[in-house]
Amino acid sequence: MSGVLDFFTNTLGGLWSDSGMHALFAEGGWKNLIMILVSFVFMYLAIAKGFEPLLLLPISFGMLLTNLPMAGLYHPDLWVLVDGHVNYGEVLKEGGLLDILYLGVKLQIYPPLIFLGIGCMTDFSPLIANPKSFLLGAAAQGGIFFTFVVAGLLGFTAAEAGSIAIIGGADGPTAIYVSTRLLTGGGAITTGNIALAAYTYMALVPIIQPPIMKALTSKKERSVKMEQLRTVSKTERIIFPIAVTIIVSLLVPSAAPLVGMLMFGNLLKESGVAARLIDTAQNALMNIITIFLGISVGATTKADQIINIKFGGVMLLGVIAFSLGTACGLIFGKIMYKVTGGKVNPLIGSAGVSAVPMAARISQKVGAETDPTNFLLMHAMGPNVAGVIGSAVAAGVLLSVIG
Amino acid sequence: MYSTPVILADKVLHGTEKLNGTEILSMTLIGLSVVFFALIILVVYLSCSGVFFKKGGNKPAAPKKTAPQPAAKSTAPAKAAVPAKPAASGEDEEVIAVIMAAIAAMGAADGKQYQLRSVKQVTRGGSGRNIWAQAGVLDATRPF
Repeated sequence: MSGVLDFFTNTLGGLWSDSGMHALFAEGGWKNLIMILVSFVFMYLAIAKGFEPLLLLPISFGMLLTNLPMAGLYHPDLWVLVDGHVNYGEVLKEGGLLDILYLGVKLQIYPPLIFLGIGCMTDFSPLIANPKSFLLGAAAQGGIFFTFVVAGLLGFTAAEAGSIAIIGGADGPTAIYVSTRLLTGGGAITTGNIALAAYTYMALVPIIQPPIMKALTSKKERSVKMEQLRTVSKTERIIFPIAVTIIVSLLVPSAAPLVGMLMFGNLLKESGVAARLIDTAQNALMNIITIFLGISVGATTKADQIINIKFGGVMLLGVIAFSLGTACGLIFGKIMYKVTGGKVNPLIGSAGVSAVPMAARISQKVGAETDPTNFLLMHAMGPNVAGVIGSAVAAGVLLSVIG
Repeated sequence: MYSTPVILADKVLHGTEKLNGTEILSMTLIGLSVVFFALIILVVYLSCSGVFFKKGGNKPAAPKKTAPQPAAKSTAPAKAAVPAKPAASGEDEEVIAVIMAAIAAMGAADGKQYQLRSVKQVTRGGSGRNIWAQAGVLDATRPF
């Protein structure tokens, strides 16, 4: 009888020591507990407040799963470079579900496929009709490079500074793409940190941008009504993605996967002969990739990587990056206002940070607050989609220069 | 995964090393210059193609004569909700039929009959948009 009792208690003790509950209350388990609570906050923001729910919800759930002790869904140690390379054989052999899904992030498959879907949904006509919009899209990328300066001065390494700076591009897939390539694992900053900061601030664009826009522009400038855009022919819309792919890929080859897929998706859309492919790319494929990308990026937010001073730095620099990008776009918009004799409303400059279409809608909103009969939406869409191309080019530069 | 990218600056910065002032400044200048250069080339391309398409392949159709017509008197009572002779010659008859159908539906609701006498294009001084474009813009921007 006592033997049975011993066996029972020993087995029960073994089960307890192997359980997640035991690990949660063991040394360091409080960090996991905090991260689980943080994941609840992000779930709340996604569900109740509608903050980028399509990505924030999978990311927050990935965060929950990865911080459940002993669940073994994701193993950060498998992704640390050994002799400059990830041991993919070990990942396939020992990895959990989220390790396997994370392969698509690490091998840079998901972000370009997301860009394919975005290309199918984007109308570049406002940009083609007003090519000068490209300049505003370029100016807003100042947020990336000026944040690089701040991050560098604060003592971050080149890879960390580049990954933080790309948050200023206001483009989630681009931020994930760059940070995955630059961050080698094992450091205090992960792709998950960068993605969390990027998507949090993208959701907060309606709060971050308007005060900066009002502070940097006068009422007279905000009241400018812009001329209606010309009609763009179908031929122009078909040639555009092909030309952009060739020009950008030849100039900045590292940007080719992102820009190439974006433009391929757009060509499918504009050609008008591939309805089935468009349907798949912008719906089923996009949704599948979004789920895989979100949940596996969320999985990289292990407690040790989030609860540290550097993540605080990432969040702080992220908002600086967004603000600087907005300010750079606006300042260039003001320059164009002066140069054109008041024909350009500087508010469309802030849409140069990608965040499609929210940034353009903010330009519309702030313009309409000054004059309700002023419709800037289509004018702001030009810099907005130019910003997508611009941030992809900026990403290519960072990847080319930082080894 | 992808072929090794052509190195823009031969990986001048090592990812794991901290940056000095010269490197930070160089990176910022290189980055902004390349982004502006790439996008300025696209501006030049689009400006050239825009000129070409505006001149050649994208000639607008001959402008329709939109002489002002008598204002729509849609509330004039009549025996049947049928259009009188369309006043604006060249107007799209389908559009007029749709307008008539809408008026007939309105008449059916209150038991009255209406006659469409003319369709007039209204040009608003402020926005320069026709009423359908105006409605579309309002619809697209309603959340704000």
